[in-house]
Amino acid sequence: MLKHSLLLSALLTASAAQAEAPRLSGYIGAEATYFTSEGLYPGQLEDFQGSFVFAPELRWRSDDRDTQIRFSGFARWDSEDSNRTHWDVREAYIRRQMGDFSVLLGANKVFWGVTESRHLVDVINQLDLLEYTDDDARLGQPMLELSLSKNWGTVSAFFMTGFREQEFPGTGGRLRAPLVVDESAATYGHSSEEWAPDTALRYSNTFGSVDLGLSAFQGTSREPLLLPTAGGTALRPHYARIWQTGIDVQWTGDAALWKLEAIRRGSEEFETFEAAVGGIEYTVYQIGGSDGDLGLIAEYLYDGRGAGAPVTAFQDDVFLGARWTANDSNDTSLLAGGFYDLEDGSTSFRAEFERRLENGLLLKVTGQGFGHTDAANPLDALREDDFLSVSLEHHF
Amino acid sequence: MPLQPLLSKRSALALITGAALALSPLPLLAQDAAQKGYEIAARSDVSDNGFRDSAVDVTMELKNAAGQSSSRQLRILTLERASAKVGDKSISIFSTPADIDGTAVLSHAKLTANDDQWIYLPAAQRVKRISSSNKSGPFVGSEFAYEDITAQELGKFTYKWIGTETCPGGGKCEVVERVPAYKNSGYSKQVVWFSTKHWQAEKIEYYDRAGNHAKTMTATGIKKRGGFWRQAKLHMVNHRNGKSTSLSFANWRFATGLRDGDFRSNALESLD
Repeated sequence: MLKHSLLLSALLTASAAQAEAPRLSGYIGAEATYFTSEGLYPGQLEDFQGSFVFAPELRWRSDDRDTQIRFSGFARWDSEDSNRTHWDVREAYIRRQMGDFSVLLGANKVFWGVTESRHLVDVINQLDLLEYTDDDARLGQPMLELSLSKNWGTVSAFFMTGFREQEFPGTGGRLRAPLVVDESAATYGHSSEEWAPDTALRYSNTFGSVDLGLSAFQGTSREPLLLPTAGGTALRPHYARIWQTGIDVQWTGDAALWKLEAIRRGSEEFETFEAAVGGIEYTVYQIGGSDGDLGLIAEYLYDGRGAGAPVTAFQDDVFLGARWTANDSNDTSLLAGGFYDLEDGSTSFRAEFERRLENGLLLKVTGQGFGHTDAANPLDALREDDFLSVSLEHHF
Repeated sequence: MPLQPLLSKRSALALITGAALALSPLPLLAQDAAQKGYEIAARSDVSDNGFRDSAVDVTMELKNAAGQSSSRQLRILTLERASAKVGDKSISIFSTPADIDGTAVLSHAKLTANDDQWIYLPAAQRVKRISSSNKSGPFVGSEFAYEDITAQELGKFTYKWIGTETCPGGGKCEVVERVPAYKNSGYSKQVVWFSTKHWQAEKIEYYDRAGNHAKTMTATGIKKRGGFWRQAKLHMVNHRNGKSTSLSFANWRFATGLRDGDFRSNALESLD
C-alpha cells in the first residue's frame, strides 16, 4: 500500500509540470434496431429498439509528453430495455513514461490477441454484452500496470481489483436467455468478491514476420456461470476464481496472415481445459481493378471445456468471413461472416457495414441472423433474435 | 561500412563523369547512364540525411473529378536509421476526420523486402500487424499509393540518367528514370526531376505496369527548414481518373528526441 501511494504521488507531482490544454473529443449517436421476429419470451420488446449514445473523451499530455491523463466515458439511453440504459467509465487513467519503463494507474481497456472470430486470450476486461451492435465494447477495468519495453520485447504486469460484473439485458431486452439474469444475486469464488486481487503478466515481441504474445492471468473469471435461482424464476451469475495461460501468434506473409490463439484455463470449480482459434486471412488486393481490397477469413474454433465451466457455443466450429475495404475517401468497409457448428450444424451470421457520410458523420449498419439452431446449442435461445440495426454517429 | 565517405567518393566520380560527358560528342553508353543516374539519386539521398528524427503536420486534400473535396489531417513522425541497409521508421497519426482520430500506421521500412507494418485502431484499442505487400494500393483513399509515401531508399530502385532539363519550377534539373527493384510495385518505371540546387525531387512521373503515364507528382515550396531541405506541398494528379491529392506540410521539427521505443507496435496506443 505504501508503495502504491508513493507511486501515486510520483505520478501526481510529475503531472503538475507545464502542459498543453486538454483535448475534448468523442461522439453522439442514434441507433435504431429492427428485430424481424417477435421475441420468444414474455415481456420482450416486439420489433423496434431505439437508443442514443454519448461518448466523450478527454486527453491531456504534459509538455515533455511523458505524462498523460485520459478519460473516456460511455452512456446509452434505450427506449425499450431499462437495463440497456447504462453508462460506464471506459478509461480514466494517468500514465507516466520513464524511458523504457511506464506506469499506468486507473481504469483502462487492454486488448490482446490476433484472431477475428473469437477473442480467447483477451482476459483483462469484462465484455459489454449490452452493446450487441459492437463486438469490441468492453468495460473499463481498474488497474495498476507496470510495463518495460526493450529490444527483447515488452513485459507488462497488471495488478487489478474492482472486478466488473457482466451486465445483461432486462425483461424487455432481446438477445437473452429464456430467464433474465438477477445481477444482484451474483456469487463469487473468492470471499472478497469483486475486491479480490487479480494479477496478469504479458510478454510480446516481433520476430521478423512473426508477432508473438504470451500471457498469464490469475483472478476472477470474466465469464460467469449462469445458474437458476432457488425459485427457478431467474438466473444468477457465479464468478469462479481461475488461472489462464495463453499464446497468440501471427505470421504475416504477402497476402496471407496466419493467426493462432490458444489458452489453458483451470479453476478449483471445474476441470482444466484448453481452447484454440486459428486460421488464415487472405487478401486479394485491388479486386476487379478497383481500389478496394477483399480479405477472405477462415478460422477453426475448438473449446474443450466441460461441466461446471461457463457454457460456450464454440466447441467445434468453423468461421468463414470476408472483409471488403473500398480504400475510398469515405473509408467504406464491410465485414461479413458466419459460424457453422461441426457437431450439431447450428449456424449464425453477422455483417457490419461502415461509411463516413460527411466529415465527422459516420453511418453503421449491423445485421445478425441465425439459421438452423440445435436445441442443445446455446444459440438456440437466440433463434428469433435476427436483427438489422442502423446507427449514425457524429464525431467531434 | 561508413556510408558518408563512400557516397562522397561516388559523387565526386559523378561530377567527373558529368564533366567528361559534357565535352564528349559520343553518345552516352548505357552503363554510364546507369552510373550517372545512380550518382544523382545517391546525391539526393544524402541531401536528406542527418536529421535524426522529424515530426511534421500534414493536411491531405482529396479532390475527385467533379471537384468535390474532403480532407484529412495527420502527423508524421520519422526516425532516421544510420545504416543504408535498413529503411527509416515512421508513424502516421490521423486526427481528422474525427471518427478516425487516433488511428495510427507504423512502418519499419525495408529496402527490397516488404516493410513491417502495424495499424492501431483506437475504438477497439487494438494493434494489428498488417501486410504491406499491397504497395500499389491507395493510401487512405488518396491518389498516393503506399509505395509513393514510404521512404524512397536508394537501394529500392535501379537508375538511368536521361538528360538535363529546366525544372518545372525553373532552375536546372537532372532527369533520372528509376525502376522499382522491390516486388509488388504497381509501376514499370518512374521519371524523376532532381533539382541541381538542392537535389530534391521536384517532379515524378509514374508509369503503370502497362507502361502508360498514370500519375504525376510535383513538389513545391522546397526550402531549407531547420537545416534540411523539405517541401511545403506535394501534389499528385491521377491522369486516369481525374482525381488529385495534395499534401501540405507545416511545422517541420527535427531532432525532437523521438526514440526507437516510440516506434514499437505496443507504443502506438499511448502516442496521442
